[in-house]
Amino acid sequence: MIKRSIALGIIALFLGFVTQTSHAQDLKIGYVDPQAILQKMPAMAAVQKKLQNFADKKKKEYADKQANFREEVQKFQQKSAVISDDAKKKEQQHLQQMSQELQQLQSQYQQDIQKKQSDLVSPLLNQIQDAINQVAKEMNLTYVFNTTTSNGDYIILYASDSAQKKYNITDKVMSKLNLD
Amino acid sequence: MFLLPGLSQAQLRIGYMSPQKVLNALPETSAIQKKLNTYLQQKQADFSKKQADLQSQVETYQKKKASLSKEEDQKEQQRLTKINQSLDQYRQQISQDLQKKRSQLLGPVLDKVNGAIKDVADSMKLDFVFNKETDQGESILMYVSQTGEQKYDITQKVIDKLTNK
Repeated sequence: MIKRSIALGIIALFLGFVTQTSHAQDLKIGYVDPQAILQKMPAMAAVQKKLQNFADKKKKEYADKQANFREEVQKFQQKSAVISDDAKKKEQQHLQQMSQELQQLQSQYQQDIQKKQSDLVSPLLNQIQDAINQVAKEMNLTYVFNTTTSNGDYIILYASDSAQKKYNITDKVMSKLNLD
Repeated sequence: MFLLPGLSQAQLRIGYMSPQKVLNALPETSAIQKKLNTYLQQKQADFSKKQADLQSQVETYQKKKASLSKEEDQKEQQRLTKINQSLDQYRQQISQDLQKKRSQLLGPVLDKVNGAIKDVADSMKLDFVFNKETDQGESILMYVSQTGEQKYDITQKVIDKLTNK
């Protein structure tokens, strides 16, 4: 009886040890470079082209409006000597307004381009995220970190050789997306 | 015995550091900063000179504008616009050159820092070293416990390695 309870105790101890170990094993960290994957996606080339066209179009619209404004300024300079003070003041206000509108337009265009970019790229990023989720689940990862920020700052400064082999899931995510 | 591989896998060791702090602690970095400042000042002085030159040309043009024929006037305007455009380009060129010079000068220092990070990480058997914050000062690690800080902040160790302390 005593022997048996000792044996059970040992088993219990052992089981406790095993569960504790597997508990500690729970924390697994992977990392991925989504930008590298994005650049490899065939759809990305088309996105970049579309974005370039869009930006060119916006640039042209702005340049036309700017040329128009310059013309008006020139006209005003030519006639400013011969018009009344009242007319001059009015014309100046008009030009000032035009100049403000141009400035607003420029920042509006920048916003438009940024929005277009995120509209075009986000479906691709969603695909990448889905593939990351799949790989992470298969590998039982607790966390998957990004390697770099959008500004190009490193998040992970160093990974040991074995950590690179085991936990860099960039290639695995690419195969999930049929990108090899 | 069969527990051992499991155990060693469980010991995921993660360090962290601030590369910016390391760079700031190196004498090379301030020497580079000095060089870059001198370079920028020279270019800026040159740019201001060119800009002042354009300004005086515009003034000359405005004075004689009334006596110019329409054709001459147009020609002169085109010429001044062109100078103005090339000044804009010059300004962009300066900032590009500065970026390039910066990465050229800083490149070897960064290589050295990366080597030191690897040495420290290897000797501490770390699996990962995280960056503590971005260059803009945004936090990547939002919290580190006191023991975590004592054990796993390798910033000073990397500095010591690089300055042979």
